[in-house]
Amino acid sequence: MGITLIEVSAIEYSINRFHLGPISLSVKGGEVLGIGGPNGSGKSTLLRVMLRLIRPTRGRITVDGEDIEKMTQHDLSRRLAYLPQNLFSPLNLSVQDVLLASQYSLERKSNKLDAIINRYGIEDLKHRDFNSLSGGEKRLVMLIGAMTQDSDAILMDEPDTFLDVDKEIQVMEEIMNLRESGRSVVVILHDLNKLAKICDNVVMLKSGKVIAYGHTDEVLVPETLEKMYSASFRIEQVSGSMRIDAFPKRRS
Amino acid sequence: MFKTLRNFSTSERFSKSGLVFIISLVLLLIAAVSSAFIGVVYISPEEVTKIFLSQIPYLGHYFSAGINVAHQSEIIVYLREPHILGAIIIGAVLGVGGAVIQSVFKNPITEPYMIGISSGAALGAVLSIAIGLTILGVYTLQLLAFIFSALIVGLIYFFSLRSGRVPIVYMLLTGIAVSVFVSSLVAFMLYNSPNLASTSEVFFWLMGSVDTITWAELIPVALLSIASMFVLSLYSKELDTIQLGEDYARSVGVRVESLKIVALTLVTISVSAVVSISGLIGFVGLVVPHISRLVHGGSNRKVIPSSAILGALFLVLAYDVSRLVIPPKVVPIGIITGMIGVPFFIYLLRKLAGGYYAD
Repeated sequence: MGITLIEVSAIEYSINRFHLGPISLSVKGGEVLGIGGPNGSGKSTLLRVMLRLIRPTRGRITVDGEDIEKMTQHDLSRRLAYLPQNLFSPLNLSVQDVLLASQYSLERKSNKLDAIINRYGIEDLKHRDFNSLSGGEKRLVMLIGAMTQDSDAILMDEPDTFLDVDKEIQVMEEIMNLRESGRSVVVILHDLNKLAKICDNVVMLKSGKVIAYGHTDEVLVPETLEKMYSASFRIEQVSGSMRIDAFPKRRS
Repeated sequence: MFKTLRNFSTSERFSKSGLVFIISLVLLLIAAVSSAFIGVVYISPEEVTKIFLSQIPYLGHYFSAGINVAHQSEIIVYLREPHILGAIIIGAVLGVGGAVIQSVFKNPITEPYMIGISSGAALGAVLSIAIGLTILGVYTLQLLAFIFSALIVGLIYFFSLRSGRVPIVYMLLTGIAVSVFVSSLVAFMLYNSPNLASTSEVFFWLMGSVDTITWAELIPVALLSIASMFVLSLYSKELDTIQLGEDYARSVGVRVESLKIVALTLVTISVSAVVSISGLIGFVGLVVPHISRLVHGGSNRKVIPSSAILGALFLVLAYDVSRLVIPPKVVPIGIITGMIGVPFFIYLLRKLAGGYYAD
């Protein structure tokens, strides 16, 4: 892994009765940082704060040492790309139009775009109305858009939602490829096994607080997970990789 | 024609876009020229053509010799031409305004009037007609309609501000609420007005018409409108991106709040300007962008120019109908756009839109 790319220092954010933080973490070049936790724990909020889509009430975030508050929208978009969780239904934009929108801050359309469309075998979707796609196809198109923005890091909010199992494997592989090429990925995943499989480091949130943060092997342990979810956990090594099983919690 | 359109595969439709643009421009030209043949006074197409040609700078005198009656020339030049050109400009502005507002609000059932333009213009008009204000000279009504529609949009924008940003749903709801308030104010002023005739005058003004437009009104409005539409067309990429959500647009580098200010300001200026000389012509801003999207797909690179051309064409044809239904009367054009536009739109939706709007 390279030098520190994103540095989050003691950020806090409050809205209504929800309070996030304080959270400090860092992401190095070529690192995959996973964000996990139950529903409503603040995962998406953390991601949106990191992207300056919402302003933290305290703390600061830097990318390559530069405060993101001082960056222009254009410069920030060249550093951090985003795959949102919720997608709006645009007014009859074709898949091609949506992909062009993703390339907004690039001087010209990425030459990788056509190659990656071929790799995913979605050439036939190019001229379809984006709204007519299935949930999984939409997500895939947005992911392709994010990956071809040539940013230093991609922040993904549940990239695996609605995907068929083959596309899901492809997406996970793509994240590993990004990592190989020295780009960073911050990814929210609900599935603990996927977190274990692809992340170098993991931060686990519950009710806006960090429960654990560190190397995946150290964070994803039964004691931590049981603090977060009301379930029992068993973790085994199966052919060199970690497997996490959850069971209903026994009443004592 | 619609059957053929529906049978295009989407990729075919994209390659046909250029052709559709050329066809609709030619249709607009034919409609505009032939519209000058219609009127209470019959002027033969031959005479109309001569009068048109006589207006060409430097070359006009070669044709003016053949014109038979001088007053025919005046009818064409001072009445029919500003009315038809007015219809073209107004239709184009309402079409483009609709396309832009629907993109900014990410909502297919919005139109420019919904951000307060219509109620503001009505307030300006009623101040001039019912109270009899003449402080701004002969064009007091037009100027007040323009100023008040811009003021009301500004007020709605200001009320919707939340820590430096304008959440678009707030603006839509505030727009509806303020419009109801302003409309009540207008109704109250009319109710209280000692002059009953003013009520019908306001009513007629609100229904919209192009057959009172003069060159003196049209030229400044046309310049403002063309400039606004040109600048708006430069933002088509940003307007596509914002449809995928404001967060997403920011994440790819769009300055969303600036975009909203620029788009809303230019739509307000151009739509208020055309409303000030025509009154409220409904339905164009809602329906025309949809027809454009059905024909060209959703990207504003095509929807904005197409909405300008189709909006102009639609209004010129509506103006023809308004003069032909019960001659020599001219039915207010707003009545025609509603009566023709709505059934046509419903037909189009049923014929073409199968996959587009089905959730």
